[in-house]
Amino acid sequence: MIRFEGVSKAFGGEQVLERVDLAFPKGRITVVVGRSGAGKSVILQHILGFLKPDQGTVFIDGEDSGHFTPQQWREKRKKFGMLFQNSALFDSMSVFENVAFPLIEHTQKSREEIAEIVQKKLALVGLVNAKHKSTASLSGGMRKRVALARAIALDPQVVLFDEPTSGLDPIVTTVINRLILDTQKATGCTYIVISHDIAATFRIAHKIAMLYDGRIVIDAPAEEVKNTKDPLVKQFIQGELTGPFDVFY
Amino acid sequence: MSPEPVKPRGFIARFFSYLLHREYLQFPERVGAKGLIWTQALGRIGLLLIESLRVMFLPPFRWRLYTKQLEFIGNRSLTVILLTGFAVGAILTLQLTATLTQFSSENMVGGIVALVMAKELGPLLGGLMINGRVASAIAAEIGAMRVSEQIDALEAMSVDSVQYLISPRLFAGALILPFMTLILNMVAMLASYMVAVHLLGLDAGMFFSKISDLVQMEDLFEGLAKSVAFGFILTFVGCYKGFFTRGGAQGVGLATTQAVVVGSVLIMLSDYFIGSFMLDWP
Ligand SMILES: Nc1ncnc2c1ncn2[C@@H]1O[C@H](COP(=O)(O)OP(=O)(O)O)[C@@H](O)[C@H]1O
Ligand SMILES: [Mg+2]
Repeated sequence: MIRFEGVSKAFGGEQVLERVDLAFPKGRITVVVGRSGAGKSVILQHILGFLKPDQGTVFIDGEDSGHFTPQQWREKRKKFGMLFQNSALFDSMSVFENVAFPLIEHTQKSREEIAEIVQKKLALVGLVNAKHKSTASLSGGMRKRVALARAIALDPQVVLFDEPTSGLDPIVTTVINRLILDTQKATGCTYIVISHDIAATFRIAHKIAMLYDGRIVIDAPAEEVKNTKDPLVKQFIQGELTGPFDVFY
Repeated sequence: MSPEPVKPRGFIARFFSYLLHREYLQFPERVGAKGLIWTQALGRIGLLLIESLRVMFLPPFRWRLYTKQLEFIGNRSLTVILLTGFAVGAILTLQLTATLTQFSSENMVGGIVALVMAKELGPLLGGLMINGRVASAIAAEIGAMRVSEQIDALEAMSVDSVQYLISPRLFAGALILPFMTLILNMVAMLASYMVAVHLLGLDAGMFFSKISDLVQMEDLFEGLAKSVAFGFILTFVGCYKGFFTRGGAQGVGLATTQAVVVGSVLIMLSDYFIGSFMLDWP
């Protein structure tokens, strides 16, 4: 369980998060939406401990992360998997080596065991045939899938997704959404997804929170958000230009 | 918004404008701001240096990363080292012999070339040549990893990015440079021998006896000690520039060129100071 309590964060006078209260329930898919530059990635960076809140607390497993040493953060992160916005695959390694990387680093498993796990994870994302390709030769959608296989290689308890479907074509978007749903169902992990893709959000989310102007303006089950009367949220969902949403910023 | 004041061109016009607009009043602030940036950079450099040395001695030990860097910095620089050694040995010998003949001491040439190469030119040229190849390559590789979030990905997977990326390169640079310098020196002496004895017809026995007269073991070690420092400097500059790269592909390009320039300047500066430290006047 990960929880934000009154988290504020500013960069050089620009208030990006303002007293954000947010909980990511165990075993559920929580999607945080908000327009580009709203500070969604900043939220993920707080969960990973790359950034520290100016005020407030980020609780990881019910523990106040404010006192974590770098070593403790590393221990916590071993239970996390992260899918970066642009996949962040290691381009000096093949597809296989990328997925095997966390296993080699953090387990004592034999080569055969690792190869077996990698095979299984690649099968899950439908990329067994690309196993020995270099990552440079992959399309954006394939890179995302390799990155997903790498993120779940260690069977993490929490998987973080930074805009998993941005910049992908509709078909690949559907593939990724399916993968998110299926892998979550299969593993029962906590999934935290950052997105500005509304259609995709409603397809996968159990719970939706919306970030606007540094604050959480709605934080509710997906069904509730879909039928919300809140003009601000409604406008964002429907992508309209008129309404309370400050379109030009 | 008020229009930008027109900046007068030319030194004298600028000087009067400086007085007229009382820009000198801002002088402390400007120096302060520059000073702050420099202090921050120095702090970053110091912290990265200490951290990369500290984690070098902590587990896990990824030997493969070390051998890979030794191969990259050493093996792949072999051609450039051989070429440099051969060219410098031949050129020095030819020019020196012409000058020394005026003083009827052309037989000294082997000794002089050996001394100059061992103490000074071997490590310096080896350092500069490898710097051109390696500092830029390191800065480009690590910089590209930074801007494409690969370094964040390492940290997100609980891997110490300094330990993974920087420590092996520093170690490999400091270890392999003296060997490369030795190779460069040997090739230079081979070229020198060929030019002096075979081309210019000097006496082979004199050639070798002057080498042992003029060059002491200490001279050779002084050169090798320098090359350890150069190997450390050029890899560290590449790592530092790459690690703190910002701003996409353009940032990577900038980091790459800066690494080469800063690396070579630091190598030459430290060459002078290490040399003056170890110099004992007769
Ligand atoms: N490490 C950082 N240093 C300075 N500013 C940052 C940093 N990270 C994010 N920001 C700023 O915070 C704001 C939100 O960024 P981000 O979370 O990446 O937006 P998004 O919602 O599109 O993911 C942006 O204005 C960005 O410039
Ligand atoms: Mg983002």
